[in-house]
Amino acid sequence: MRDNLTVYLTMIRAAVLTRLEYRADFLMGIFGVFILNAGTLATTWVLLSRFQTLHGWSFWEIVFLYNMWLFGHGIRAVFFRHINMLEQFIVEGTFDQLLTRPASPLVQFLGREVHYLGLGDVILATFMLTMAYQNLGLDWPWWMFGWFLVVGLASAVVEMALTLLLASVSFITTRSRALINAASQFSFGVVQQYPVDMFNKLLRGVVTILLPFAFMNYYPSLLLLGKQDQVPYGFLTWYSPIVALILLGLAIAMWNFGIKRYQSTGS
Amino acid sequence: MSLFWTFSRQFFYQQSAYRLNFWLEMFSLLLQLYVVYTLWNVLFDQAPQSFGGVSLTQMITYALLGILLGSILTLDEGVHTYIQTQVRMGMITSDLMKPIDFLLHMMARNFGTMVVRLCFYLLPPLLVAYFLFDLVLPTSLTQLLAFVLAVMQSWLILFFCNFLFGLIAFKTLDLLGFMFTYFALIRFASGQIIPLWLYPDSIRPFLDALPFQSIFYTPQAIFTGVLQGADMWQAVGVQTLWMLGLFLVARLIWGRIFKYLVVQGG
Repeated sequence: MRDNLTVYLTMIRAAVLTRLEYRADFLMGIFGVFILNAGTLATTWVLLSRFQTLHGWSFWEIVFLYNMWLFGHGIRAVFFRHINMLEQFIVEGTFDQLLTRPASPLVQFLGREVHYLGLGDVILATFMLTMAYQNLGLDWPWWMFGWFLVVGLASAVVEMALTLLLASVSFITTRSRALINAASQFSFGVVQQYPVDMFNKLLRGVVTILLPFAFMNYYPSLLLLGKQDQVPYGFLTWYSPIVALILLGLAIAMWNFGIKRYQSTGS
Repeated sequence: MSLFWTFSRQFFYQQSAYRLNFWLEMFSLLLQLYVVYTLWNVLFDQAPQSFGGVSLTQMITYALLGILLGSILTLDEGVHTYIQTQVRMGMITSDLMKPIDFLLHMMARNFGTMVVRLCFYLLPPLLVAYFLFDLVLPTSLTQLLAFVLAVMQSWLILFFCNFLFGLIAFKTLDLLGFMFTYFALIRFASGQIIPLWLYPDSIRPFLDALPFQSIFYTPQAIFTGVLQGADMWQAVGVQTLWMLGLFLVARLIWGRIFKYLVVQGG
C-alpha cells in the first residue's frame, strides 16, 4: 500500500510538471470551462425565470444541485479523466508498457496524467455554490461544512469508480468507450441538472441502484438544502460515502477480473 | 454530385462496423427524448399558462425535434474538428493538394456524414418517438416542404459557421478553449432546447441578430406549426440570407488564408 502511494505521488508530480509547460492552453481552457457551464446555467435561468420552480426546486436550488455535480466531476476530471481512454491505451498497445514494470498497473494507469480543465470546474463550482448558499439564505451548523467536503469527495469517487468499472470491460472486449458514453448520459443528461424526483420510478431506480450517479449530487444535496423530508427516499442523503466506497471496491474487483483475462492486441 | 455520395458510402461502412455503438447511441438518444418529455410534462402540470399559447403536444414535439435534429446538426464533430485534426497532424497539405476546391471537398465530406446520421440516428428514433409519445405532425404538404427546405438550409448555415470557426485552427492550432465558448453560444442562442418565445423579451433582439436561431428554431417552429403562412416563409427567407452571407464570408476568408498559408513540414 505504501509503495503504491509513493509510485502514485511520484507519477502525479511528473504529470503536473508536464502540464505546466503549456500555460496559454491552461488559461484558455479554464476560461472555456467557465463559459460552457455558464451556458448551461443560462438555459436553466431562462426556464426558471418563466416557470419559477421545477418540481418544487427553485433556481438557486438547481444551481446548487448542478454545482454539487460539477464539484465532484471536476475533482474526478483533474485526476482520472484518462480512465475514459483506457480503450485507446489498449488498442494502441501503450497499456502493455505498464505491465512490464514492477508496480501495480492500476496505480501506474491512474497516475499517468492530470488534466487542468477539471480545475476550472472546481473553481467555478465553489464560487457558484457560495452564491447559491447566500441566495438561499442557508445557515449550516459547523459540522455540515465538513460533511460537504466528505460528500464532495464521495461524489468524485462515485463517478470515478463507475467509469473505471465500465472501462475495465475493454480488457475483455477491447471496446468500452461507447459503453461509457451511453452510461454517462444518466450523469450528464439526467442527474446533472434535473431533480431526480421529477422522473418516474424506473429512471429513479436506475440512477440510484444500477448506475448510482444520483449519489454525486442529488442525494447529498437533499440534506445540505434541508429537503430530505420533502421527497421520497430522502434518508439516502446519508449514504453517499458508503455508496462511493462500495463502488470503488467493485471497480477494483472488476479491474482485477478484467486484467487477468487481458490479451494484448499486439499493436 | 457523385463525390457527395462517395463519402456517404464510406461513412456508411464505418458506421456498420460497430453495431454495438449504434445500439448504445440509440439508447442514449431515447433517454434524452424521455428526459425532455418528462421535463415539459412537469412544467405543464405546474403552469400551463406559461407556455405562451402553445399546447403541450406542440411543446413536446418542439423539444423532441430539437434533440433529433441535433443528431444531424452536430457541433462536437464536423468540419471544424476535421480541420483542427488535419492542421495539428500536419495532414492538411494532403487536403490542399487534392484537385478539388477545399470548401467543396469539406462540404461533400460533411454531407456524407449527415446522410448516414440521418438514416441511422434521425429517422428511426423519430419513428419510435412517434409511437411512444403524442406528437403533432405537419398538417399540409406546403408545411412539410417548408420544413424540409428549412432543415437543408439549417445544415448549410451550420456547415458555414463550423467552417469559419474551424479556420481559427490555422491561426492557433488548438480549438479547445474556443470550442466550449462556441458550443455554449449555439446551445443558448439557437432555441434547440428552449423555444425562443419563452426567453425574456430583453434577450430576444440579441438572439435575432445571430444566425444561430435559424439553425434550430426555424425548422422546429415550422414543424410544430408555430410559424405559419407569411411568418414561415419570412423565417425561411432569413435563413437563405444567412446562408448566402456566410457562404460569401467563408469564401473570402478562406481565399485570404489560402493565399498566405505557410505549412510547416508535418
